[in-house]
Amino acid sequence: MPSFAGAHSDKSSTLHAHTHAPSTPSNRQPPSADKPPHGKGHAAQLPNGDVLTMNGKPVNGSAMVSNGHAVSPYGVEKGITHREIFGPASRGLNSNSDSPYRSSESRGTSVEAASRDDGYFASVHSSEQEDGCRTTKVHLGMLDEKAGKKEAQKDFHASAPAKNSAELTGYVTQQTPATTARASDASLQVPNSTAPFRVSSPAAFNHTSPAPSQHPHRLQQRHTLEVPKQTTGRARDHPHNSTDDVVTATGRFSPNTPTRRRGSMSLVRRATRSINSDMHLEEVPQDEDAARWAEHIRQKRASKRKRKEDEDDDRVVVGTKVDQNHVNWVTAYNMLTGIRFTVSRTNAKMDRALTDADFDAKHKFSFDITGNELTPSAKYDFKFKDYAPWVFRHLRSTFRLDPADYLVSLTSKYILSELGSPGKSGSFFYFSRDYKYIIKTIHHGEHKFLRKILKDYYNHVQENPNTLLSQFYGLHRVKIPYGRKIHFVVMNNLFPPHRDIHRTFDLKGSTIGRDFKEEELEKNPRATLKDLNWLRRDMHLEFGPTKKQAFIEQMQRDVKLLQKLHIMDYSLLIGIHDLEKGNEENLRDKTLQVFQPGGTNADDPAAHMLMRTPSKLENARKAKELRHIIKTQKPVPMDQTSDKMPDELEGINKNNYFYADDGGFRATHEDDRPGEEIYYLGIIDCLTHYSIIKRMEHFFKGLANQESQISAIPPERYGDRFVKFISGVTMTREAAEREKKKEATGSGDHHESSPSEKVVEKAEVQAERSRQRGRTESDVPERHMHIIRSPSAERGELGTTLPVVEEAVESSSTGGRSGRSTQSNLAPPPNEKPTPPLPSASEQTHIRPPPTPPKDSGHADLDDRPPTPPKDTQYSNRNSGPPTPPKEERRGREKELPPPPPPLENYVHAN
Amino acid sequence: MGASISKMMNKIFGSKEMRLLMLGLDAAGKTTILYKLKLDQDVTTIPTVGFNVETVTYKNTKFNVWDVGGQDKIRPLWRHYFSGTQGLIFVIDSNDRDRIEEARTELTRIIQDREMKDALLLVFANKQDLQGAMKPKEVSDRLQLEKIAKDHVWKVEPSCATTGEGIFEGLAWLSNNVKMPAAK
Repeated sequence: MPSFAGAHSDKSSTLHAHTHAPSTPSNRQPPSADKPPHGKGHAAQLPNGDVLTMNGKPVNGSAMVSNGHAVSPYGVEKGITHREIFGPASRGLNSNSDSPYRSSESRGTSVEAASRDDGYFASVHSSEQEDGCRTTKVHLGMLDEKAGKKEAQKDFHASAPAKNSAELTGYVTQQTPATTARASDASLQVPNSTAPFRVSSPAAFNHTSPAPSQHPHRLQQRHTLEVPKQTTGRARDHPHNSTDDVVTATGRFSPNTPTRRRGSMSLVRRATRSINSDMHLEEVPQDEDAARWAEHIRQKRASKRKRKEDEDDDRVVVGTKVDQNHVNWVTAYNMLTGIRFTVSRTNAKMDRALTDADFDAKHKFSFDITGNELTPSAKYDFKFKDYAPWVFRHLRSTFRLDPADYLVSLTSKYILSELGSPGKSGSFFYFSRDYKYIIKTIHHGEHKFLRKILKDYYNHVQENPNTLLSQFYGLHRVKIPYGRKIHFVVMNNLFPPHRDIHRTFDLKGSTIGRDFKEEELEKNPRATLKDLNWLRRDMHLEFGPTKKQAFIEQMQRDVKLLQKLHIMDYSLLIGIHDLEKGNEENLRDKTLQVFQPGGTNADDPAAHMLMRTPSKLENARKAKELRHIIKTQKPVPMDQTSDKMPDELEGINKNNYFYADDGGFRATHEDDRPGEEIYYLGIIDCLTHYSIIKRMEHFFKGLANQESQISAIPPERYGDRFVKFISGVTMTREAAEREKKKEATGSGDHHESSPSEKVVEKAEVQAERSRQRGRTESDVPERHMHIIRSPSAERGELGTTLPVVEEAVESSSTGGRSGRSTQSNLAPPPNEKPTPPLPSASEQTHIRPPPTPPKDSGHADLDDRPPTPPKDTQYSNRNSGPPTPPKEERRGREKELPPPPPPLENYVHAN
Repeated sequence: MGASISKMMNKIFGSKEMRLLMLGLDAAGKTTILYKLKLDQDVTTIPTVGFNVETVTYKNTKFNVWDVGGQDKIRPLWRHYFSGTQGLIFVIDSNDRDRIEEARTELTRIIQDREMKDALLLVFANKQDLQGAMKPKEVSDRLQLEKIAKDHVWKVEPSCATTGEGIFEGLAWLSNNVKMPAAK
């Protein structure tokens, strides 16, 4: 094939780029590179016959890792989005080269390049390749024998602290580019150099396993050098790091991080031993060990594959998977065991009516390894307390949860995912693995308060089955010996597993501190935005008359309950799914990251070795090790892991009116035609009692700010303000435009503003203040989603202890590579509207005028004065700059693709 | 304290405790058997989502019987009850020939579990009062017990939960065959 020759040269340069790129920044290279993304490991597990598939995803991962500076996998992904599934090899090509937009020249090229990329894979394929191509490789291979040796020496002198085990050493030395020419040669050669050794080993998934026997002399040399102290100390019981191992062994990562790789290898190795083994690595004959490991890995992989075939996967849809290796594994295990036990226990009984005693009921159980007459055996000793089981059983059935579904999706496997960081309250969030339920740890005070209000809540739910309030499914407490008591609730997850949430807002109706800095947003595009961001973006809850009425009435009823119970500080959480964008951006897959420390399978028998409750010291040590693992672990974008987000909704509660449209509440137009967005909303955080602490907060904040705008105000006013604000922003797009026009003409009278409007006006004042401090409103950026890696993870330093999940939380701890500024994109065109009278105003950017008060709202507080009072002159003079362009146009602009970034840029845009 | 004293008494007087797990397809009659044992009554039951647990003393042996719901949706939860089980009672609806295959699959999965490798296996061929119910021999053949339970001590006991027939015989067999661990 003539095309092949051309392809060949092209590919070699590509490969050169690949090998070289990582080497240059190697000193700064993140040690975390040695923590291979899980996805890679997974792909590598596939049978070799399927190289195409194998190379597709993993290579993306390697691109991310190998480029010291955040080549965002998202970008890579973007580049290939439109390619067919069966060309994943071309992904490999693309990600190796730095330009995601580079197109693959030919299929042959990409296949080859990809397979070469990983020597072991390539070797399998060599037989299928063209003759001409093959001879080339042989030739190069011979060249490289020398190169490899030289490199070995170099490595030696560098005295990299870590000894690599055989396969690593071999591979690294071959890969380390001495010169440009060598580099390319080396990488080209790899397949052939390994090929001879492969003859004796099984063909299937052993691309890692033959390695240990390949260069024994080198191996020993390396090992006599030194054993990093740390390796013995950490990661003792992480039985299944085989995925990591695969990746490191295939050497697809930068060859210049031997230390770190050593680290991950050590994890693997340690796992064979018993937990208490403190043997140093030197004391073990390395070759045997390696061989044993090869065997072990092979077996494990085979069994894993088998398991995958017949069992459903152990996937976790979002967040950090909590498996045995997780710091909070024991807690999660105990929670789930306790929930399963108590729910099963209650549900098996015949239904009966509630009595008053049921609201105060609490049952305490203790679990241990042997189990007793009441409790089944559990791996760890712990005590579990179940509160008001019958009430919650009734609540669950009111919310139309199928008991079997509830049990199975929450507790059938010990898998939870942990949301990256605790919320502001310090609560931890865990998702059930199907993302339907949230376990939230709560403070003792909140716990007591929930029990106190349970009856009111229950009655409210009975009367308002469509309530927007958080749905509580269970209230429990878990305590491990000598441990803290942990209270937690099980709740509904407002956001759907099957839809991308494009934007998230958390609205309270106050403005002080209710601004998520736009600068921060650049770094963390998935952040939850707040009231001022909402106003600045000129957003509305676009509900037509019917839905608007239903929504506002329900909200008023819910808020009334909260007021009665003296609750405040709750907020309306809104997740917006844009149907036009749909799921095609795959935000969930890309921006949600899954850490999978260790293996994937929660049921590995080896994991059951530890039968007693670990001692405190042991726990501490393990925690330390785990933290380290997680730190060095590279977050993997969702779609590079084996776990895919579902595209369809199954079995979620569709009975609630507000969750009926695909799990959410769809926008409608003036005439009730369905709109383009689905809102996933609900009132959350409704367990804050207006207590002495909040009173203090009120007092102090009140000193500094306009009292009505702080969030800590008495429940009555809080609720009123909340309702007004939300009602104020609830209007159809058409209404919003009409209002805009009106106000643009400058007509109208200030005195007609409705209460809700006043609130918004005040909000605007505040918004303006904050705007003046910060950037202008024209900066409301359209964020381009890209993957962000924690910089600390990149550096591999002690950074985050817990993995960072790029998800809508209050955290903004992930640093990202700053994207290109998008300010210019969105500056409202100033020529749209007549110039406002005051020149000073023109330089300011426009602030959203107060929205129309809901016309059809049934709220008594809302007066029946004519809607849409235009701004008073004074006000508009002060504030109106060029009005925001009509929404339609903005949307149109959003759709524009940003120009493709030049190659080698650090971030990639995608729309 | 009280528990340890009673344990001592048990040792002295030769009484033993036994942890039993009762599984089987849905509507096989597990809950009915349990309450027949416990209350000697024929109770009305609902499909068990979750479990019932009762302690029954019979012939010097204290049986701690766990009856776990058998709907296929919640069968994945079964394995969480395996640990510590000394005897498995697998209940078959002898009249349900269509699902005997399914029962075999489930039973195989259970007894092959590591945690269950030492458990005794008692199969109740339940609903013997119905016309055309499979006889114990047919049940053991169809379940291929010779094959799938070759590492286990097993027995098929014909039973009728509503009348109580065969149930205590089954318990007696379990009690006689259990190897008491030294600790208990």
